[in-house]
Order: sequence, then structure tokens, then C-alpha cells
Amino acid sequence: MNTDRFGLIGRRALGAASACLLLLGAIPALAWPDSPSDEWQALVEAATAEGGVTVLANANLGDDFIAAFSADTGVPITLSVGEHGEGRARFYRETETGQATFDAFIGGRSSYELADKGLLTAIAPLLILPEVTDGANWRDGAMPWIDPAKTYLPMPIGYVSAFVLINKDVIDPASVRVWDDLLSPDLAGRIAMHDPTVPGGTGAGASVSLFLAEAKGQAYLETLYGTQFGETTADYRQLVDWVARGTYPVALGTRALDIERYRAEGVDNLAVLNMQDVPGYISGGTSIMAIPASAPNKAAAQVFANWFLSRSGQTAFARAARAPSFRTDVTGGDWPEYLNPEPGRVYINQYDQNWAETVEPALRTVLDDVLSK
Amino acid sequence: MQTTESAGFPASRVSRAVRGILGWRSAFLVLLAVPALGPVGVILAQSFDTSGLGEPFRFGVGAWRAVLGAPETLSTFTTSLLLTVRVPAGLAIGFAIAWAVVRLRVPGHQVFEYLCWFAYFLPTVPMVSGWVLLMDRDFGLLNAAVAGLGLPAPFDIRSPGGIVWVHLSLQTVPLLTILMIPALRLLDRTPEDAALVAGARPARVLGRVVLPLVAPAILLAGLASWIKALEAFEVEQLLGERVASFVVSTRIYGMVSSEPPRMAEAMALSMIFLLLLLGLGLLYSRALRWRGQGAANRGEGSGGARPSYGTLLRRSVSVAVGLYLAITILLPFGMLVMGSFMKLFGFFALDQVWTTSNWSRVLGSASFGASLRATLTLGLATALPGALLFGLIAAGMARLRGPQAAAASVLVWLPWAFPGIILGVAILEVSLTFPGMRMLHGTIAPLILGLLIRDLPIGVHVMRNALAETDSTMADAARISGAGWLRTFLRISLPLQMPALTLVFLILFAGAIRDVGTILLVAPPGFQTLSLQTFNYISNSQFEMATVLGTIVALLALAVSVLAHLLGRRLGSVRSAVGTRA
Repeated sequence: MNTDRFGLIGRRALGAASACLLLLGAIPALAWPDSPSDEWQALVEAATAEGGVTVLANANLGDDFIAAFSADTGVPITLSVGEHGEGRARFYRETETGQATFDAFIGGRSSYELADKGLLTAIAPLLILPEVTDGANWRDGAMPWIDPAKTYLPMPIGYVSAFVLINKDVIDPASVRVWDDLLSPDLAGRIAMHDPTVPGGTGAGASVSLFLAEAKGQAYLETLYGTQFGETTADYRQLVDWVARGTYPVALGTRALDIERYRAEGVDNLAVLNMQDVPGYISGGTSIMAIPASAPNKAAAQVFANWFLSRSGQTAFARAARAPSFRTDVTGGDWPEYLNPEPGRVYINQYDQNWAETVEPALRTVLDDVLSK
Repeated sequence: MQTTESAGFPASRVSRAVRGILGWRSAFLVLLAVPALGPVGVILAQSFDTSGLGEPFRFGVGAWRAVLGAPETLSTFTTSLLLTVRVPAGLAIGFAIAWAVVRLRVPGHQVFEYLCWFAYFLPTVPMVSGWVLLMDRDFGLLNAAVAGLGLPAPFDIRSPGGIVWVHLSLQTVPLLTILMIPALRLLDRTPEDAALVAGARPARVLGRVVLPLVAPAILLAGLASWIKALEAFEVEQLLGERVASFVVSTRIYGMVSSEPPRMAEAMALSMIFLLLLLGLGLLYSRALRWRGQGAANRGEGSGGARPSYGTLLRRSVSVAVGLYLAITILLPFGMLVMGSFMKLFGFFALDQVWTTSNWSRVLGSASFGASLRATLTLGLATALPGALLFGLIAAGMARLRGPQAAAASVLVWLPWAFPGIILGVAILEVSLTFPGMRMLHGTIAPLILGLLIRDLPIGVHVMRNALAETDSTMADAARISGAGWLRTFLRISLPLQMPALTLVFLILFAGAIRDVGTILLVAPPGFQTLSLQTFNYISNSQFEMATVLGTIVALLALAVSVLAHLLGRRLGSVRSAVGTRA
């Protein structure tokens, strides 16, 4: 968004000029990383000569994320909206036809098949910064990947999902402590839910339903859908709005971004509850990085991959996404406490390819069955 | 000329046929057929592609089976058809306003006509926010006002009824009014005056004299509007969230944006939809020619002056029309501006409801400047060559006769039936799969191509009307003096058509800066117009930012509509063609 993509020749000329200036020492030395290797410096020069990196990503990342990358690397970056349907469609079609107009994609858990078919670049061999490859910097001792080969699709962000949003002026928070409390007759018809039938089946409504199908079983899901849900909507913000106004005092499938936006503007009747019996599941949100095999700027893509997974990149990303990073040195950020996984508890990782390929299909059948009734 | 018989065919006929095949007219038709039929061919081919990710084309009918076997297919088509109920309603209201403006010439008629032009150029997506603020079930101000009287809230903007209302108020009625105003202006006043003098009441004159005379124009407008109503996308996508994939266009979008995309199914569904729309498009094309002949037989152009209606009637109707337009156009526009100053869109239960921070955040962001540049770049890059190209096509069509003229007319009108989202998908596929187009992928060229194809019918139609009404003496003199066709066009016809060209330029410019559906899938990375950014903000539930950008785009539209209105008044009957955009 900050750089025009269509002036390709102009960009390359700008990149070449920047590289020359860098070589001549006309651009001040960058403060990041602490002790750059010759290999890294050469890579940055090559990326600059390419004219910069184009990233298809979440629109919420905004100017701060761009500024952080530019300040750290000096490489121009173009951020293009890629989280919505049209962005995903472009990501798939351009990647599978080998004509990517972008160098990296940051989105949801959607690229397994592209990785399996060799249409993505292996990211693991591209990671050359020690702070990225050092397992000590990551929770559980290693950077998480969602593909079994741990090569193509890193998942640097992970937060607890399937929390329950309530209006505490209407509902006593102490009355909703475990999942079965949602089946109380007092809540019949008073729970709103994100629409699980959103095309692609990738929304929070579908994810929460799959989680409940796995954790609580089909009978629980049938009761929830049969008597407790008042309304579903595909609009995340509307869910929070309904709870804040008391239209529906309880909601499932809400986004922390919307909740915190309302809280920041003075809405103080929202309470987020993590159920005590089954603690929800881990979601990577829109943090999964992929690099198409046909990425036009290979060096720039590599610089971005290393930066994105570094402490600096994760700090900028976690702040913009308002979600906790798996990096141990990215702490105390601007995300709500209820998103942090609790130590010692076991969570289902719905982004894991094994789960998606072995467990999810059966759960989808259960969900379809429930929805058809 | 000597003729010899050969296998039963006169040589002259064969010669004429060969010349016809090889002549410029055939080349011209082929050039017209590429943009008109190309997208249909691409969509048809893709609908039979059953290959997996990254695999070469594999023929199959799996996608067609899936689409035809899905119960949603019938329900989405039914819903799409049901939502077109706004067309007859829009025809009735639009005709009443046009009658008031032209025949009654009510006080304020010029302002009313201008308001319709303003609404025509307004960006739909942000204006939806204005209606949300008024008619949302939970926080709409109109609902709150009714609830204050102790009555249940009557409105729900996020419902089929709400969607119909938004279309009706912002698009259908203004555009149908613009379309019918010229038809009413061309009516001879004699029969109307005679009826009034004979003692008929105004309602009887309207029903027995005016309506029958303009019935062909009304039917034509209704057909054009019906086609556009069937293919609507943005409003349905934004307000139909509670009922995902509930019309055909939003279901196609849902398939395209699935993970992974269900392209073949989307193309099969698009093809079924296109067949329906193309049928209507052909009907429209034929009706257009029929109406043209009918108009000539009626000897139009001899009237236009105001019949003698009473002052009380004129003033009463003026108040009614003024109220209607204020409520349906100015009120949501005011709400749009108001929403841009709210801390939390639609949330009035805060200690501090108002803020200017939305404006400072948008205007201070790095992306705003880039989006503004992208918007102006796309508008100019589309409108400048588009106006000239459409002028050339219109001039070329004027030289066609017989079946060639009919074929050209049909080809030019075919894109009228392309829904923006389908056209966008087709352009994306063309730029990804056709060797000659691949070099353009990732540039703004596919966007311009898509917008030009979309606006081909209206642009060429405006220019054809303008050419038809131009005295051909000077052009004939130039040709007799030895100037070629192109030289005559550039040196004589083009300067004479400058007002019409400027009007087409403005139509294309306004269309480009407010478009979402056509360019959504083909905009290159980093290239985001203000309308696209607004759509993204709304899709991301950032209504506060969306209303700021929407207000800016609306102000741009206001400037364009002032210019277009002034030009439109100078062009007279050319406006009738513009109205067909409904």
C-alpha cells in the first residue's frame, strides 16, 4: 500500500540506486540485526536491488508494520490486502499458475495442498538469522510449523480461541464456567454465533463448532444449535455489538480485535471467559507465512521471511495483530491476557496439517449433520 | 458489371461475400466480438476444468454436476429474482418523478434532476453505511425514533427488504428517472394539452395519454434495470452477511474465495447466470432497436413544453418529490458524513460519541495518498482512452448496414449482461492463462480492460446517439474533398462530438473510481483505489474508517456529477442513453 507496484521499471531503478548508495555507505548502517553476517548483508543488498518485497497480508497490519520492516532492513515493502476472499483467490490462482505478483503471503491455514504439490518455496532452508533458527527463542524449544515436513508453513503466532463473550450486566460471569453451562435453559435463544456456513468453512463459527464437536460430541452440538442459538452472523463485529447492547448477551466465535476496539472506546460491560473444563483450541489466526515458488523477488522474500520470524518482526506483527507470538522474547505486547495459552494445559492445534487431514473430515461430517437438522 | 453463374451463385454475390469477409467491416466485428464474447468463452472453458491444483486442464463435468445438484443453486436464483422486485417499484417511482420534473415542471425541478445525477454518481458501498446508521435493527436511528413512540422497531437493513430498499433509493429510482426524463421531454404536448382542455383530470391524463405514449421507453428502462438488478453484488455482499451466499453473485464470490477456490464450480454457476442474463441482454438489444423505430414513427421532438397543470398540483407534487429525494439521497449521505465522526460506528451509548480522529488517521496514513493516486490514475487511464475508443466504435458502427449493423449492436450490448464479479474472474483467468496477456498480469492493464468492457455498452450508446444527432454536412464535405475516414473522424467528427466525449469521459471516470466488483480480483498488489480500500475497511468491520473514505469518494462524485449534469443539459437527448445505465 505504500509503494506503487505497477511502475516495475521505476522500482527496479530505485532499488538499484539504493543498492549503489548502500554500497557507497551513503545510507546509514541499519541497527538490526545486532551483528549481521556477510551473508545477511549480501542478501539485503540483493533484495534492495530487486526493488523490494511485495507481501499479501492482513489489512490490519497497516503503516507501523511497514515502517518497522523498512527501518530494520532498508528494503522497500509493498503490503497488499490478502486476508479477504479476493486475496486468497489471487494467492491460490497465481501460485498454482506460477505467476505470482507477490513474494510472500501471510494468511490462514490454507496452503497445505500447495505445499504438497511443490508450488511453494521451502522456507526452512532460507532462514539464516541465528535468532530465528535458535530453538531457545521459541516456546516448546522450536519454531512451530503446520506442515509435517516443518519446511513450508511456519506458524509464529498462536492464541487461545473458543472463548465465550458475555455481557456482564446481563449475565453473571460466575454462571458460565464450563461448556455445559451454555446449555442452561436460561440461555435458550440468547446465544449468538459466528456463521459456520461461511464459504470455505474457515471462519470462527466453523472452527468453534468443530472444536465443540471434538471436545463435547455431536449431542452437545445438536442441543446448542437446536435450542440455545438465537442467531448467527458472518459479521464478526456485529457479534460483539450484539453482546455490548444486550441483544444477545452471549456470543461464540468473536474476534479479540473487535472486543478490544469496543473496550478501548469505553464499552465496559464485556467479559471474556475461558471455559475451565476444556480450554479451547490454539489458532494461528492469519499468521501463516507462505512463499510461492514463482515469487518474483527471491532475495527480498528471503529477507522478509527472516525478519518476519525474528524478534523485531514478531514484535511488530504481534502488536498489529494483537495476538501473542510463540517467540519467548516477544512478551508483554498489546494483546489481551485471555489469548495467552495457559502453561501446563493441552490445546488442540486446528492449524496442524495432521489434524486437518485426519481428524477434521469426520468432524465436518458431524457439523454438516447437525446443521442439516 | 459482368456476372457469371457458378454452382448456382452469381459471381457478384460471391465477390461481395468475399469482400464482406475480408473487408474492414468484418475486422471491425471481430474486434468487437473479442471483448464481448471472450469472457464468455473463458468462463465456459473453466467450468469444464476438473484438474487439481497446479495441474493442466482436464475436461470434466464434475463442476456442473455439483452446481446443478446443489439445492442452494435454485434458492440463490430464486432470491436473486425475488430481489428484482425493486425494478417495477423503481419504474413507478422513477416515472412519477420524471413526470413531475418534465411535464409538471414543478418548482425545484432542476434541483430534483440534479439530485438524481448526484445519486447516480455516488459510490454505493460507503452509502450503505449511511443506511446502516439509519435502519440497523439494533442501533438504527429511525428504529430508535419509532421505538421512542413505544412501537416495535420496523426496519432491518440487513435483510432482503433492507437490500431492496438500499438499491431502490440509491440506484434504481435515480437511474430510471434519468432514463425516463428525456423520453418525456420528447413527447409532443398537443394530446396532453387537448385532454386537459377537454376537462380530464391530471391523473386521467397521466394514465390515458402520457403513460401509453412513453410505455416503450418505460419497458426498455425496466428491462435494462432488471438485468443490472440481477447481477448486483456489493450491497448483497455487505448486507447479506447474516444469510451468506444468498444471491447468485455472492455465491459465486464465496466459491472463488473458498480455501482452496472452487473455480470450476464458480464458472459453471456463472455460466448458467450468464445464459439468463445474455438472453435478457439480447432481448434488450432488440427492444432498443424496436423502440428507435417506434420513436421515429411517432415524430418525436415536436413537443417538450409544459402543459397547463394547476399551481396547487405542481406545488404539492414538488413537496412530495423533494421529500422523497431528501429522505432517500440526502439523508443517508448526511449519515455517512456523521458516521465518519463517530468513535464507534452506530454506538451512541458512550460518554464521548464524537471524534475527529478517524479523519486524522485516514488522512495521515501512508496508504491514503497511494489510494488517492491509484484512484485518479485508474479513472484517467480508463476514461481518456475509453472515450476515444467508444467514439471510434460508434463512428464505425454508423457505417455498418443490414446484418452487420445488427450483429455489431448485439455485440456491443452483450457486456451489459456481465456481472462485475464474473467479469473480474474472467479477466483474471485471461491474464493468467493467455500467453499474450500474461505480460500484463500484475499491472493495471487488466483493470482498464475490465472497466472498458463493462462500460462498452453505455459509452458506445452515448456516442452513437450523439453522432446520430449531428449534422453530417461537414463530414460529407471533408470526404468529398478527399479526406479519408480516419482523417474525417479526427478533424471533423471528433471536435464536433467533444461535449459527448467529455460526458462519456465523466461516466467512465466516475465508474472507475467507484467500482469494486470488476477490479476486486485483478488489482495488482499495492494498487488500491479508494473504493477498494473502503470495501476492505467495511469487510474488516472498520466502519469508522470506511465512512471517512466514503465521504471523500462521495465528494469526488459530487464534483463529477456537477460537470456531468451541466454537460447533460447541453447535450439534451444524449442523456437518454446515460439513463440506460440503470
